[in-house]
Amino acid sequence: MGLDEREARHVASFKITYPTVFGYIKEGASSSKHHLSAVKSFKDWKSFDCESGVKAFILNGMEDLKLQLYQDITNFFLDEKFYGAKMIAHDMHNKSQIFVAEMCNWMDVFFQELLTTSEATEEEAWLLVSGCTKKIFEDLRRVRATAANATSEINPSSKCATYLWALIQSHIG
Amino acid sequence: MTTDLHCLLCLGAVGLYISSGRNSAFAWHSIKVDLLSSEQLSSVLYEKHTREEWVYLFHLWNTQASPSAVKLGAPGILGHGVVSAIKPPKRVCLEEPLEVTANLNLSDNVLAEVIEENQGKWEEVAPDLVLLSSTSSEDKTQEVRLEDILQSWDSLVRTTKALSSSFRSIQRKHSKLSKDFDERTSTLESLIGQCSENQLKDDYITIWDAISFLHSGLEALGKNLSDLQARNLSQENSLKDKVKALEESAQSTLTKISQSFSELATFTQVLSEEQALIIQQIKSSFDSDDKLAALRRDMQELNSKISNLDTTPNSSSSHMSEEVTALKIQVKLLESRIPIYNLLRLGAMTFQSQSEVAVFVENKVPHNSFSMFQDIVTLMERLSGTYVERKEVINEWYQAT
Repeated sequence: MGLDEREARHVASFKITYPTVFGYIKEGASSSKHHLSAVKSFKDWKSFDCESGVKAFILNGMEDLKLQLYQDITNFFLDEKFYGAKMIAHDMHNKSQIFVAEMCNWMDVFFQELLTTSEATEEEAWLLVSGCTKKIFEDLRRVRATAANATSEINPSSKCATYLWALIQSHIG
Repeated sequence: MTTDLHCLLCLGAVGLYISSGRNSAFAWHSIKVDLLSSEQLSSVLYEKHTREEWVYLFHLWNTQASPSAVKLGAPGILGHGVVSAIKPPKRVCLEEPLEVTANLNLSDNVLAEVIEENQGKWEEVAPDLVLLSSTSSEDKTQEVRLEDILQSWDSLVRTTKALSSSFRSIQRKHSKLSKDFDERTSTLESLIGQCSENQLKDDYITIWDAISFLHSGLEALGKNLSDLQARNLSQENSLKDKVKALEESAQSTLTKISQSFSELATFTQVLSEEQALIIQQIKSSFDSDDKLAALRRDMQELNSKISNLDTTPNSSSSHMSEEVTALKIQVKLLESRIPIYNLLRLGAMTFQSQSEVAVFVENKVPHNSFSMFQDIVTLMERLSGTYVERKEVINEWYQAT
């Protein structure tokens, strides 16, 4: 295939519904009853020390990727001929960063709101929050599925267009 | 002769008084006897005058009975019973008494001659002079009568001199009074309104001039005010007319604008309803976004075909050109009615179909650059290959050691 690690992760992301950080299932384990198998409870999502937990992992990773991806995009589209592509790549990256940050914040706020405004327990509240989050990725899956088998296309230009179209639809959705 | 002329002079113990009944000495004027010589006294007693004339004479004698005055007992005065009563002018108010000479002693003949010569003039010049009758002198000798004439002439000359001096005195007093009157008038004028001289302008010297000037100024001001009011009234009327005309024109314009707005709102509403109906029909026709994208692709292909028709030589005829133009317009109209709510603007670019993306990638994107475009899933997948919590790593590290 001739794919490096970055391209491999990119191609693999179109074959899954949930990001690994949410839907990872250990090998040999059966399907989880939880919506997000990697984040079974709010405690796993956000620990009290605010240093561990999936949320801290995501936000720290996003902070790291913010500069890393910015630099990668800038270096890749050095030629003025690709100025439009560079701008699209930066725009998509920024919108994705914003969406992830807002989603993480919404999960916290919605969980606390359920606890304070209803008689739901933490498990019940987290079940609802994780269910909504799962629904988001399932909707994204509908438009991203068009590029699930794009690797089979021979024409690299067509393959790139297929991925780009699916990503654009994902942003629209 | 009236009855008053029969009143007799009575010589009492203390003086001479007019007898008109009991207690006349206390009720009427009198003079002291020692003021007159014996001859004068005898002469006076023979004279007959009215009561008022006697009172006046008594008063005159008493007034001039001071030590500085002329002694009544001087020779010639009332010596022969000839007395002229001279009344001082009543209308002249003098601070100093007139120097009326009392020692007038004219004989009847001389005085009569003088009076006869100046009968008309005398009444004009001295209407207050009264000629008194005197005693007869026929029983006197020629020498005595000549002496009396000489004395009378001297008395006439002195009297004339005295009258002349009196007239000059009266003239001086009159001139002095006139001068005082003018000065007081000027003082009064300057004091009216307490107006000082430095406040007076060049246009007026006295306060009367100032008042006249102010009066004329007030009249001019009133006239100007009336003119101004009339002009203001006319301008106000014209302004009202203009405002009314403007209001009417503005009202008509607003009515027209309102009607236009209502028609425009109706037209917009109709267009919105038509657009909503078209969108609904399109959405009902295409149950998925893929079909909508396919429609967009078809529209793009149609556009490309039209472009090809433009460039082909066969389309040089005018008929074909018109058809192509009409077709272009219809295509644009159809494109404008395709819903664009699901379009996203990324990097100043808008893609309506996958074919547009393909063209864009073909021309402006490196073919191996698909990993540079991110969404939230690819971005989260870039976090790590597998999700491993830090404590798990630490536990594994601890168990391994």
